[in-house]
Amino acid sequence: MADRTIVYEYISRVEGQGSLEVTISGGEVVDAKLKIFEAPRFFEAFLKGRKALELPELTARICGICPIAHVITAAKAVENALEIALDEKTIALRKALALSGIMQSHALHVYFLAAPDFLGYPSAIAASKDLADVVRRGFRLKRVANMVSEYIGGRAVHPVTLTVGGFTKPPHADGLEKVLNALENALRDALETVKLVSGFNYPEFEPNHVNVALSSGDGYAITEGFAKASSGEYFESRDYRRYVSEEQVPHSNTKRSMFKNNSAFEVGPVSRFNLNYESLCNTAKEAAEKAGIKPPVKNPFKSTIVRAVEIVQAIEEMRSILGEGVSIPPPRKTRFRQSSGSALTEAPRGLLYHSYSIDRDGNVLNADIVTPTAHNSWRIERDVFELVPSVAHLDDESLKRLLGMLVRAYDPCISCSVHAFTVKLNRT
Amino acid sequence: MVDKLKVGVFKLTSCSGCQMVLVHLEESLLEVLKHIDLKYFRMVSDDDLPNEPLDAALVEGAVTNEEEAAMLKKIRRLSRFLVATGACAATGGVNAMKNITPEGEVESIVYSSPEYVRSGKAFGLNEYVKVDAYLYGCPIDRNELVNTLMSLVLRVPPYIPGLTVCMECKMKGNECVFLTRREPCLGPVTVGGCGALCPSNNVACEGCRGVLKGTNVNGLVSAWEKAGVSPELIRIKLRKYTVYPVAGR
Repeated sequence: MADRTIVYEYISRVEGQGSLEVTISGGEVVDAKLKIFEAPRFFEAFLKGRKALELPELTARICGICPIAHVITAAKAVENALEIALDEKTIALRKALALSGIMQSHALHVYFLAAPDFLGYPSAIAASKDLADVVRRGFRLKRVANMVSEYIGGRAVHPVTLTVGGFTKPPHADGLEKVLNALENALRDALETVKLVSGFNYPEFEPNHVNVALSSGDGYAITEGFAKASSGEYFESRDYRRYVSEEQVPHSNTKRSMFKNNSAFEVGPVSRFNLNYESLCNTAKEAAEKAGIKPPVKNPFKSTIVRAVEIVQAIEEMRSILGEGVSIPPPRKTRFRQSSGSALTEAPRGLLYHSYSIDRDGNVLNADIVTPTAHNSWRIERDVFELVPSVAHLDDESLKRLLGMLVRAYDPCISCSVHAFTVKLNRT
Repeated sequence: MVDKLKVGVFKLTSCSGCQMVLVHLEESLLEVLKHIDLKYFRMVSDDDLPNEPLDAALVEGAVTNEEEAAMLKKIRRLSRFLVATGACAATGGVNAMKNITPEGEVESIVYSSPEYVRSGKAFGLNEYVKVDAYLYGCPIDRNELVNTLMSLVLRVPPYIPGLTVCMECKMKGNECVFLTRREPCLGPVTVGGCGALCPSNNVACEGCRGVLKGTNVNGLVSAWEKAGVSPELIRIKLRKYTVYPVAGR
C-alpha cells in the first residue's frame, strides 16, 4: 500500500481552530499530528500580578463554552488557599450551576457538533430543513440549561455571581418555580435524546484507556471529591503534580499531559461514567441500560451516548438541588495571607485543574491551569495510531471523515487548550 | 423575494463565547435564519470558506499574530460589512493585558523552552482593517446581536448604544456599589447596553464594553482616589478588558 498523508485542515464542529495530519505507511500510522493553530493566549502570564479575587472572572475568559467550570474551579482553588470552608447550601448551588454548564455543553455537542456526522449533514442548521423536530429539541435542551445558568449565575456565558467565598447574590426565589417546571419538561427531551443517539451507527473501536475522573462518596462527582484513576490510583488536588506531568517537546510547542510520567489518559464523560456509574441516579442508569451501555465503555465514539445520559443525570440532580430551595448565606469574607491552593473539578470535557500562589495582599504570584483538552490531547493522538490500521483500506475522504469524528468524540475545546500553549504533536 | 443576507462567522484569538451567544439564540436562531444565510460558521458547520463575497462578517477575537492579520484582511476584502464582535475584536480584550509585559518574559512564564513560541501584541480589529460596526461586551449581548443582524437585513445602520452602564444601573434603581461599598466601578465611563448586568448582581462594572466617547475617565479616577481606592487597584482596574486612556497611568 502506498504511503499517504491525510490532512484535515481546520477541523469543523469543534470549539476552536485545529487540524489533524496523519501519515500512513503500509497500513500503519507513522506520524499523527493534532495541530492546534489557534494562537496561544498566555493566561498564566497575565494572571501574574492580578488580584486573586479576579481569578474566577478572568479564567472564565479561557473558554466561552465551559466558563462555568473555570469560574468554580478558580474560586475553589483560592478558597482552598485561604482555608475558607463553604456551607452545604452554597456548595450544592455551585454544583447545580456546574451541572447546568455540563448540560449546555453536552446539548451543544450532541445535537450540533456530533449528530451531523451520524445523520449525514454538514451542520445541524442544514439538518433542520428535514429534521426540524430533532434540531428544535436540541435548542430546547440548550435553552433550559442556559435558563438555569442564568438563574444561578446571572449570565450563561461568563457568569457573574460566583465569587471567592460564595455568591455575590442568591438566585431570586420568585424565579424558582419557572426553572423547576422547565427542568421537569426537559427530562422528556433528555430521554428522547438518549434514544436518538443510541440508534446511531458507531464505528467499532475498543482501545484500552486509563480513565481519570473526580470521584466522591457523595453522589456523581462534579465539583467535590478526589481524582480517581481506573488503574487504581487516588489523589487530591494538592498532589496532582505528583501524578500528572507536562512535557514540552523540543522544536514544537507541545505541552503533553502524562499520567505517572508515561501514559496517555482519558478524562471526560466516559471516564466519569466508567468510574462513577454507581453514583448515577436511577433515571440515568435506566436510560443508560436502555441505550445498551454499561461500564466500562471503551469505544470513544460512544461518548455521545454517555453525554446524553449525563444530560439526564444533570437534569435530575439540578431538580433535586433546586427543589430544596435557593436561599444561601452571603459570601464568606476573605482574609489574605501568603498561601497556595489548588482545585480539581469536572468540566463538561473532564478533569480541570487550577492552582495558584497568592501573597498577603491578595496578588497572584503564580498560576497553573491544566484543561481537560490538554489532558486528552495525547490520548486522541494515540487513538489515531490504534484506529487507523483497521480502517486503512478506506479512501482519503472517508478516512478523513472518520478521523474528524474521532477527534470530535473528545469534544476538544481548543480555546481552553491554548489558554497557555499550542499543541503540535510531532512524532515519528 | 429578496435574497437572504450572506453572513460569515469568524474567530481569531478568543474564547468562542461570542459565537456561543449566537448559538444561544436557540430557537430564535431558526427565525433569524429565515433572513440570513450562514455561509461560514466553522464551529457548527463543515462548510468551507466561500469564494463569493459576503454581505456581512461577524469577527470574534483579537489579532495576535501575522497569520491572523492576513486572515482578517482577507475577510475584509470578502465582506461588504464587518462587525467587530465582542471585547477581543473591539479592543483586544483580556488578551491585551499581556501587551505591557516584555515579550519573551510572557512566553517564559508558560513554557520551559520559550524560544519556540511566538506571540505578538494583541490588538482589536481596527488596528488592521476598517470596522463598520461594533458589538461590545465580554461576551456580547444577545439582544444587541439580534438587533444588529436585523439592521443588516434591513440595510439600515445598526443601533449604537449611547448610554453608560451607570445610567442603566440608576434607571434600574440598584444600590450603587461605589457609593455604598467604595468599590471602584467603571459603570460611569462604560458603554451601556448590557442592562448593568454586573452591578445588578452586586458586582462592580469591569468595563468589558469599553469606554463611551465623551465620558470623563480622569474625573472618575479622581473620585476613586478621594474615596481611598489604592493606586495599585486603580492601575489594575484600568488595564483589563480595555486599556483606559488616563493621563500618567
